[in-house]
Amino acid sequence: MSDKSDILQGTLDLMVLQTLDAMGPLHGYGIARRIEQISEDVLQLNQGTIYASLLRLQQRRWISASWGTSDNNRKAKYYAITRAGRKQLAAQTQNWERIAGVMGRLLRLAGQ
Amino acid sequence: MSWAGCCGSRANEMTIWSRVVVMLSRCRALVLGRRLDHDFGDELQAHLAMLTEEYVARGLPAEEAQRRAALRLGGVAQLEEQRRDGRSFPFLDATLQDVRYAIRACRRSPGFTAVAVLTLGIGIGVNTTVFTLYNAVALRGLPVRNAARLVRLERSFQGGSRGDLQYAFSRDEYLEYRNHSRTLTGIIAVSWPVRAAHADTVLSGQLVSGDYFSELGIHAEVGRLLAPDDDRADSAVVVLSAKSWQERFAGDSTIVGKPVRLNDTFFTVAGVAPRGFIGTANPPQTPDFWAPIGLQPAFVPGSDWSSPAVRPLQILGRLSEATAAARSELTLLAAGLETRAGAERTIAVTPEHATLFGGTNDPRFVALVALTMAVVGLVLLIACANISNMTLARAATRQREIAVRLAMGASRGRLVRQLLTESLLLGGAGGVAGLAISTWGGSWLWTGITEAVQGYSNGDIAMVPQLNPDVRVFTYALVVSVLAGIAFGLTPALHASRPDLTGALKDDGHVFGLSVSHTARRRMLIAGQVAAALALLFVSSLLSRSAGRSEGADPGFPVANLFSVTFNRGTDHDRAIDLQRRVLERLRTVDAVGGASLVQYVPLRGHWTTPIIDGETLAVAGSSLVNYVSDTYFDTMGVPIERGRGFDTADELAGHGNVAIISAATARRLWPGVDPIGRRLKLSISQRRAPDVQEFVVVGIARDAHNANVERVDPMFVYLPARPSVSYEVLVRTRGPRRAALESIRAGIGEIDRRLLPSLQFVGLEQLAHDQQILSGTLARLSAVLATLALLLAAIGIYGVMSFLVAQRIHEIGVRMALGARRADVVRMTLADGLRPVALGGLCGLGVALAVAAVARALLVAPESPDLLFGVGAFDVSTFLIVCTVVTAAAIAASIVPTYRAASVDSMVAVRGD
Repeated sequence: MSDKSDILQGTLDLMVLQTLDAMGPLHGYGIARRIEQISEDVLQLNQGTIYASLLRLQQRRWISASWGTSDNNRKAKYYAITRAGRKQLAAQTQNWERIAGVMGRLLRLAGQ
Repeated sequence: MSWAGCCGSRANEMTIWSRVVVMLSRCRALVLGRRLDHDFGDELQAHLAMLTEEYVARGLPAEEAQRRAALRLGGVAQLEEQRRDGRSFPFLDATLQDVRYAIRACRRSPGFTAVAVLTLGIGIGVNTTVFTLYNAVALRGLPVRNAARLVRLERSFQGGSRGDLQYAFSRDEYLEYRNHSRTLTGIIAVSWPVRAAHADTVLSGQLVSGDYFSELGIHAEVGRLLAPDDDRADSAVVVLSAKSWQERFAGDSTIVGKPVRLNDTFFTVAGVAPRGFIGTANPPQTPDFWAPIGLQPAFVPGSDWSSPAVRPLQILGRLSEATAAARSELTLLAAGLETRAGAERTIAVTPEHATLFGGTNDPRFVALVALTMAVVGLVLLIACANISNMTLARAATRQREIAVRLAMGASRGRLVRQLLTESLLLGGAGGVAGLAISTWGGSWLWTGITEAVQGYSNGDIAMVPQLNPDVRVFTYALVVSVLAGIAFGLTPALHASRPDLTGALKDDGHVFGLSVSHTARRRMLIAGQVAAALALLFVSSLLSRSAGRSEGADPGFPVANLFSVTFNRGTDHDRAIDLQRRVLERLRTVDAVGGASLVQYVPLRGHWTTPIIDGETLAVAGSSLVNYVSDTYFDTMGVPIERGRGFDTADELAGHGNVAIISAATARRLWPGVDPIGRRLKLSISQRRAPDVQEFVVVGIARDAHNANVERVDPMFVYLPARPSVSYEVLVRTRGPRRAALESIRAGIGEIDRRLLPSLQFVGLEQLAHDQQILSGTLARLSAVLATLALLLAAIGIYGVMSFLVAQRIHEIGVRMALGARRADVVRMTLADGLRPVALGGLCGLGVALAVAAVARALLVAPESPDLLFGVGAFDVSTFLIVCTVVTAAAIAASIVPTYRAASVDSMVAVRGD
């Protein structure tokens, strides 16, 4: 079971990084909302699960956090991607695309 | 690139650098913990608020919106817990939590905590005290610069003999090592103590090489210290130690440059050494002064230090390479200088870490230390066993709490860790208490030991070793505390975390299911401790009573005015005899001398026993003390001849008569009720293996005295006439003021030969008697302390076991009371059960005490053994009664609390098992 959650965690981390890279600094609610939107509500997670990702990314210094004010004048914690995070994102994106390519070819082959 | 890697599994992402970064974040979180938790709580609340807003914007009512929002976010408590677990080091976090919990638990039961810490403090304190002494004597370096590398050279003999001889080197050897050794640097030499007559006393000093002080890094407190220049024979300077400067020279601030007369030579005081400098030890005394080696003729005349046969120096230096390399080099150099053969040949020279005492790697010393540490280690183990019982009893009351925690998902390991943390915390507190006890106990014990030893050595071990705790002692105390904590905490922790889960929750009232054999072992532990406490109490009360009586012991002769006079007679036998005769004659002419005589063994200092045989019946009558004395002995000692005569015929004076004078006790033993004058007895007078039995005629009876031991009348004593051409000790009795008398004796001997003066020494019999009495006082004090400790430990043990037994049987007590038993019955049952092992132990202890008393009695058979009990009857009824009462009182006091707990059991509660 831990294997599955590990993979899930890993991909969630990637999604968070991607979101922050594309959208700029966001708070936890915003990130969760965005991921739900992008995945077209395929991923139905508790929004709280992103906080595990956020902790891990923070510990590795791939994102940074600071308190700020939201649009509704509410105090919220904003996360932003760091330079190291961008590098990591680029590397992992490359990985994924390569795997996707291989898998795609494999599956097409299998289908034949 | 692996599948796992692309999917972002953790292991692959982590480079060394990212690991470091994560570690740093976790450390930061460890420190900032609480604040980060608050922070996160706020963040979650904000998130929740935003979600609620979203639902409200969709048109839901406020309450519904909140509910949906909460569902969508997930459990706040769980998220917070997740964050707490992930942000830092879970192990450390858990440990900190355990520590906080343990502190609270200890505060909740202050009685238990106090008793446990006290017990541990005693056990750990005793251990640390012994270790502190061992550290000061054998492990710690001397208080000089760079002490860790300072070594003392030690030689090994082919014949394997051990002792101070191993540290003695000749001047040639010193020069050889200094000039040619590459593995040792800064080689210095220091002689054994030399004596120097100064005014009316004698000072003890050491002759050292010129670079002694500079190599050790010592700076003068006043003036200057010795320099390499001073190694010439014409430089007559000395350096005083701070102690002698204060005591003998009244701390004179103008002392530098002043002349001081030692052994008829004038020296200039160059300066004073600092207070902390105690010399390089071995022997462990602070010298009164230091002088250059070149001045040797002034201090030890008649001895040629340039001869290879004379070995007056110790050699110290600093290791510049490994010990093994130094050893081979030194051995090689020594081989080149070796002049002796056979058993005395040197086979190796080793550099040994310079400590307070030499010879600390002597296997006998190590064995003694090991034995002592084993004994005190045993004491600590017993203390831990006691506390273990108490902890079990306490755990029994927390049974339900533990069961609930287990049911809620705590792992057994986690629970054991938490309980163990409590024990370690107590162990740590005990360690601190133990360290405190050891700093005080160490100096007390050292004083006691040196006082006792002084009675048997002529030296003055006035040195106070460095007893303050250093790194080694702290480490030792820490290790012992941790081990003790584990020792007494592990078993209760393991037991407590394994209760019958469902049983406890159903309030079955079951306890741990421990088997009977455990209880039997516990009872035996109590019995053993009580036995030890009782035996020790008995011995100590006997010793204390006898110590009281020893103060007024009268040996039968006036010790205050009796002195033995010793001086260096030289190696020429004929000259020595002639000198002896001349000294005796001269002494008789001195006014202040009331009497002078020759004696082989100075009373109270030495003695000799040999089998004595009745001359007629040829029956062996046991052993007798024997001494060779000259005719003036009885007059000098003030021991009158009660019947018959002294040695007065010409034959006897010339030493040819086969006559003897016996003590009154001897007469009573050999020929009771009959006149002993004229009877014959046989003695073996040879002091070697081959017996030489000779016959003597009794010519006189002397009054009984205490020649061998100050506290005991000699059971049998035979005086034989001093023989010609034998070197004996000189004994004098002074008249009038003692100081003046000794001065005039000194002057008289000086007139015979000035060179005798440096080695002239007076030993007062009063001092010898005092030294013997001190031993009994020290033993009394020591045994009193041990007895108190043993009693305390036993009382705590009784308390612990009884608490446990009561806790174990609470259910049963409740049932009994519900069935009609009265409180008095419960009390009686509890006391009987708990005190049975005490009674058993008491009986065993009495048996041991009686055996000890019997042994002490039996030792007295040998006439030369001291009567440590000073005549106090060993089988003393009043002592027995007192000791038994004390132990019983302690046992009852220890059982009060558990019995009270048993009696105050509310039967309804107990039956329900709450």
